[in-house]
Amino acid sequence: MKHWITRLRNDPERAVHALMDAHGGLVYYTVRRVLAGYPEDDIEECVSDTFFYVYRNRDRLDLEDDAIKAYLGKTALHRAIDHKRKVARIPTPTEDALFDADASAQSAEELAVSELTRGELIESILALGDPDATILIAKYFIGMKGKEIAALLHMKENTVVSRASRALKQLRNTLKGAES
Amino acid sequence: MTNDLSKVLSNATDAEASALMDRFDPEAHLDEDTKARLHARISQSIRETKASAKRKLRFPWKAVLGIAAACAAVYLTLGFTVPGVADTLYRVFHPDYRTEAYFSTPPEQRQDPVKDLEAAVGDFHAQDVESKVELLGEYTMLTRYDAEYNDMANSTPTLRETYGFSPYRQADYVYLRDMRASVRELYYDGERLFVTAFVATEHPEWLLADDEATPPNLELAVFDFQLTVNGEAFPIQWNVSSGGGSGITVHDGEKGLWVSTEIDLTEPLPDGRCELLMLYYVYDCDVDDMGAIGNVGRLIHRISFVSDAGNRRADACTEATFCGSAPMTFTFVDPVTLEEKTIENRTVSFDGLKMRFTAQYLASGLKITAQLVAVPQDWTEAEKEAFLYGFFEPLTFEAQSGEDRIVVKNYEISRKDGNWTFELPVFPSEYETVGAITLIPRIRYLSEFDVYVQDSETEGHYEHVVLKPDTGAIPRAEHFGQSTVLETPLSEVRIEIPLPKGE
Repeated sequence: MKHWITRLRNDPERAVHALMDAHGGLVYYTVRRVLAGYPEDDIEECVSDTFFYVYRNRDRLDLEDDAIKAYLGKTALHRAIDHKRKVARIPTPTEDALFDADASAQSAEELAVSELTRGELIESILALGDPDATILIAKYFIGMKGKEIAALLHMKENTVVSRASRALKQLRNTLKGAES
Repeated sequence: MTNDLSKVLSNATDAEASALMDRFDPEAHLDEDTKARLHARISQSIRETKASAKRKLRFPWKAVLGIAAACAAVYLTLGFTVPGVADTLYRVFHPDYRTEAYFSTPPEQRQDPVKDLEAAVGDFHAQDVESKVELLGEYTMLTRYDAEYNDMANSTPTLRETYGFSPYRQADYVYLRDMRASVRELYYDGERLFVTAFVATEHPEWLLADDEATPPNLELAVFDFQLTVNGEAFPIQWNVSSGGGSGITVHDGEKGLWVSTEIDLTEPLPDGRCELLMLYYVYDCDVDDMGAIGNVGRLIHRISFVSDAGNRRADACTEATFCGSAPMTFTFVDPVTLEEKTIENRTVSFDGLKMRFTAQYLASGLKITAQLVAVPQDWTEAEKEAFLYGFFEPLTFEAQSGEDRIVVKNYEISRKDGNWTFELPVFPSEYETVGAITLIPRIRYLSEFDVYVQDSETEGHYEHVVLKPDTGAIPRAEHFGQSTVLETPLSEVRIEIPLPKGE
């Protein structure tokens, strides 16, 4: 099905806004992950640039519906990286304090993740099941803050942090097992 | 581990990213304010692109007018006195006529006012209801974005300082309070609403976003709307474009500038009294001519009008079966990576393709909608795809009337759901003289083009490619330079569009 592409070609303005309604969150958090510490205005500019890029290039796109999400994610990533290069400002890291505390507590036991294949790591994360997999993806892939993940999953922030901590421990154990 | 985790995941391949994203659905969490700001930014980018396209259109239009004037002079010198010559010249030498281009040209700059259209504007009884200026920090709650704007107003001083500009002070922009908007024209064709407003101000030149000018360097742009019909809210979604302020002039003894706006309606307006609220935002280009932090004030313009006249229009319908062959361009792109795949020209038979043609007889011209009814039986999805959505939009038309002919340009055609809609500059008062219009379909294809070739040692260069029909596929480059598009008329197909008599 090429429902999105058809809409983009037939009624581009409304289609691009509908795309924004459907996948705005994905693009927003993908951009924010790259531009962590940059002003909100930069992030939103980059997000709108991503959708405007799709609007301008609609005639060159030929995507099945199930490919549009990955395409938007990839475009957002590239726009964000370009923006970072263009602006060339030094970001001030604004890591979530609760997760920072958790990260430092774990640092002594850091695993040599780079020695494992990325595919194994991703498989292990996905195998954690919900909501733990979602929490780790939201935090470490998308770059969401603890409060935001809590709101997304309708949980208390403390619950998110403790689940993340347990999930990381479980992930470590799984990966150690795979390594040995 | 957490740092490593972020680093490793950030290098995920497309497939891996897709797998992670499938699990994660952040849409629900994007709050309404953020969404509203993002929609507004996207709309602004689109509006600027359209305005830029309109500005680009003006130059060749003027050039064509020059040629028209020269040719008219030749006709006069040679003493031609054939009846209807003026009409003929109008149609032949104004190929770029479109309603939106007409209304986006300041009234006193229109070389050939269309008397049918000028008269029709009066049918809507447009009147001013309110014109009021608000400076940033004092916005009243009027539209769905007001909460967002007020937030912007509150955070603007901080934002400006963050970006290294002077803090916002309302006192610096009090001169904007002399702006006053009045409606000059309103036209509704059943699908679109055109509004031309005059904004009176002592210093219109300050509002034209001219980087070369002495400050203040501001820009005026219509950016938000609200419409009610018979007191009920009527939805307007995104399909709005405004040319912004243009054309400093003196109108009714006042200095000011023109602002033209087009609103594409998602459905026709019901008959009745309508009220349109337009918000003209003013940006300080010396602060930021693109982002919200440049916003310093707005002009609230409320007008009323009666929609009935736009819903009363005659139309006629006819059907045609195509025949003949023509080359058409096919492109094939990798659905995920969008990396170049192939492009080729194939000769395609159009025998058996059926289309329905509807003509609307409007004061703004003859509006034709061609609707695909059936494709030839031997067409595959590839042919259908290339015909409907092809990279170079293959279908266009030539309109003939006696010796006159106009080829409808690609950008003049609006394509939607297998419908092709375009306007012909034939107006009701000319129907008797013109008699009838014959349409002939034309098929466009990409014949030659330059391809940008990336070179690891230099900045790259363009290579010229000739793509002859039926010579097979070649790899398709993502970046095209100059290109040549050829058109093949399907001469055997003649679609007669009748014109009403006795207009």
